[in-house]
Amino acid sequence: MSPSPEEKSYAVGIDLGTTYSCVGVYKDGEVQIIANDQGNRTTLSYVAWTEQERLLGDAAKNQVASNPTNTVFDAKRLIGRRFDDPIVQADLKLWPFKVVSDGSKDDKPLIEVFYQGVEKRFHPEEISSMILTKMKQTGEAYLGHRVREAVITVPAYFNDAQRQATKDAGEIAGLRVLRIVNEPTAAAIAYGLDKSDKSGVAEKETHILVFDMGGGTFDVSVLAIQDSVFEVKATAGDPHLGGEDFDNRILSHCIADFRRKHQSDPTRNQRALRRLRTQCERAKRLLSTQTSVTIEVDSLHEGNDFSIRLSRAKFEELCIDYFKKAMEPVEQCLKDSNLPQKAITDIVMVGGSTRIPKVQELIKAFFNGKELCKSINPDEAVAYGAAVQAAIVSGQGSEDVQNMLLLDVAPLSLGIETAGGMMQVLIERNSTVPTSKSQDFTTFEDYQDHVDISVYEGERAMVKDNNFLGKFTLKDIPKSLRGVPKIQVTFTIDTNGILQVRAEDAKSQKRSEIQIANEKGRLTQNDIQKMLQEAEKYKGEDEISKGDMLAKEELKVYMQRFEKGIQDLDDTKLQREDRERLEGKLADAYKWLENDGLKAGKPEFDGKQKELQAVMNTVMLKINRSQTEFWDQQVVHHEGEKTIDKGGFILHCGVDIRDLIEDPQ
Amino acid sequence: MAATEFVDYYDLLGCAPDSTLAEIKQGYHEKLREFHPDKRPNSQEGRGKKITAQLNEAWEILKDERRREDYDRQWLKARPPAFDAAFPAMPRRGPPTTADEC
Repeated sequence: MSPSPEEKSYAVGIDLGTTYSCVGVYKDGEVQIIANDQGNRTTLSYVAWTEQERLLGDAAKNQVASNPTNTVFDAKRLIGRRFDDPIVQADLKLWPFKVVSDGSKDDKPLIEVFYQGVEKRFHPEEISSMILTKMKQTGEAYLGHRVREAVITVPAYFNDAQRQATKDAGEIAGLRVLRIVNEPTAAAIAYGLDKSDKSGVAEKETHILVFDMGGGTFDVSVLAIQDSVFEVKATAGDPHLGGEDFDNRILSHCIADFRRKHQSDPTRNQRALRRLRTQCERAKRLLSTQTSVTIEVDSLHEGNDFSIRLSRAKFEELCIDYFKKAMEPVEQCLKDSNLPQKAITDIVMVGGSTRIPKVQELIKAFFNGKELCKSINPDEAVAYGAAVQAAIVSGQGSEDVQNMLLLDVAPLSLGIETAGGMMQVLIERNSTVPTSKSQDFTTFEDYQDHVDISVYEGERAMVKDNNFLGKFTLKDIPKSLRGVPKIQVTFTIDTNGILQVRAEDAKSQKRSEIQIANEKGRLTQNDIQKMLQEAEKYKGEDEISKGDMLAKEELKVYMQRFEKGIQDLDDTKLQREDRERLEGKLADAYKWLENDGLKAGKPEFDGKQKELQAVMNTVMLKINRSQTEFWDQQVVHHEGEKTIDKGGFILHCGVDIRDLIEDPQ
Repeated sequence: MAATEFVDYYDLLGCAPDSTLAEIKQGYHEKLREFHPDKRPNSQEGRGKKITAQLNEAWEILKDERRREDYDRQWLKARPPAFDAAFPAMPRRGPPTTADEC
């Protein structure tokens, strides 16, 4: 399809998780989950700032104990929320890094870190974009091509603002976001492909329930699959329930125990908390396969060691209310899909937390002992499905992939406020997207010349109990008696689950479109542009911290070889003036390295090395025509050297003359 | 209640009023494959999105037996007169119950 190999670019699927992220690509007829530079198929959703550099992914987590306040994670729990959101306020107390309000009326949360002695503040979207950048780079390293497009997944129960913000994060990372796909839906694709491989494409309609419990969010979706059409029937969930909540419960349990044993409180000691949390998480994982573990941290706080035995039963007791709470969306989702329990042919378990035996036990009991489907990888299924969707949307992939179609739903009802603070729903929850619904409204008072339209999402009858999305005003309505004007309000939800609202006065044809962007703490296009530039700058800085050192080392090695080369050449071969010239150049280079080299970057180091190579090459060419490799001689740099002597630079581009000469034999 | 004008869902889905639910669903899936924005990567989302929204709306109503009956009454009122001449006695889907005609 692609016109030339250089322009070939792949669209990847990215599962942007609360604790882990994963990237996959559809290539050569199958999905490949791509391992990162550490060899891991999932990457920690961590970003850290040290004295020297920014670290992404696994590298960031590795140094968390020594740098807790500048190591940021859980950005997904902040994204699309306000600072005064009770959930944000509760999470804040558990994070070692600092979160502040931006002080505007939108009350956006900002994450504050210290980097190179300066206080820096980031939007959650920026943190997420950095993780996306890491995933993008992981993809590029594997594919050997630029990655410009991606499908990014979000929890099905994410609201409008959270989806918008995730899309913005993708843009800041320099990705064209082809689709925002719901995580359980993506997992269902992975399941569906897995099934169709084994048993042929099912002609009959089958219903599956996807139970997706990850590090920070929890979703349940019921889907109908027929003729490669994946139709989401209903979705429910809790955007703030997952493995980290269980870690926190264990952590609180340990802290209480430590206090009792040592009469001292480690809660203000961030380093201690971080070390203990890591052990708590480890214990939770181990308890999925063994019945008890010991949590041990040497010299946790004020020189006191900490050790506690935790049984699986105790862990379950600590978290049982969470586990039980997770069954409510399952019930809700089944009810919304109008399906009897026995219509569900498979229960697909996705997300790390579905490894917890108690979670499995409860859902199994809910379905009267039905076996759970564990044939797909719970950590990779979402990225797998996202990669398939990326192939579908970008027109790549085999015939069965091209034949697939995903029909998702809007997770929450959407409506506007009418007289008396009531919620008038325009789009019911679980409506298949894209969808567009219109309704007529009229004025409440005589000669009213404008109407305020407030948009909400949620299931409650009164708007005050629902989530406010935004407000806009339709002005200059021709004056008339109340009830006469006809105002048509249209809600449109696109395939990403993102809402657009339009109001139109039928008589004057006056139109108004909602700017949810500015009302709901969403980033404006300007903000995004600014962050994009910032991110580009960072990308540069990253390259510097990565490439600089390498270039400097290479230069040093070359200089040593250079020095040795001069020593090895005897005076019969090397004329005195040439030796002096070489030695002079080398001395200059050493001096340069000591002074300018301290603040130089990769281009300067590379340039210096080229400069030395050029001198060496001319000399070698002159004195050693017969001995030098023919092909090496052809790389003539003396022209370049003349330029450098005049204070110029060698450019990277140019023709390697070897390409122009035919083989000597 | 709805402010949008009448749309012939049967026509939209390429079916007839006496089509079975399975036929309607098949029609829905076929049309989706043609118009869904996922299947039209190069077009600006506008048209595909609009048609898909209508297809979803059509399926939403026709898959529900009670809502389909309500819709059929509207459809009979709104159908073009020429249609009457072409199909004087319109057969109904399922067992012949003429009670719900108009």
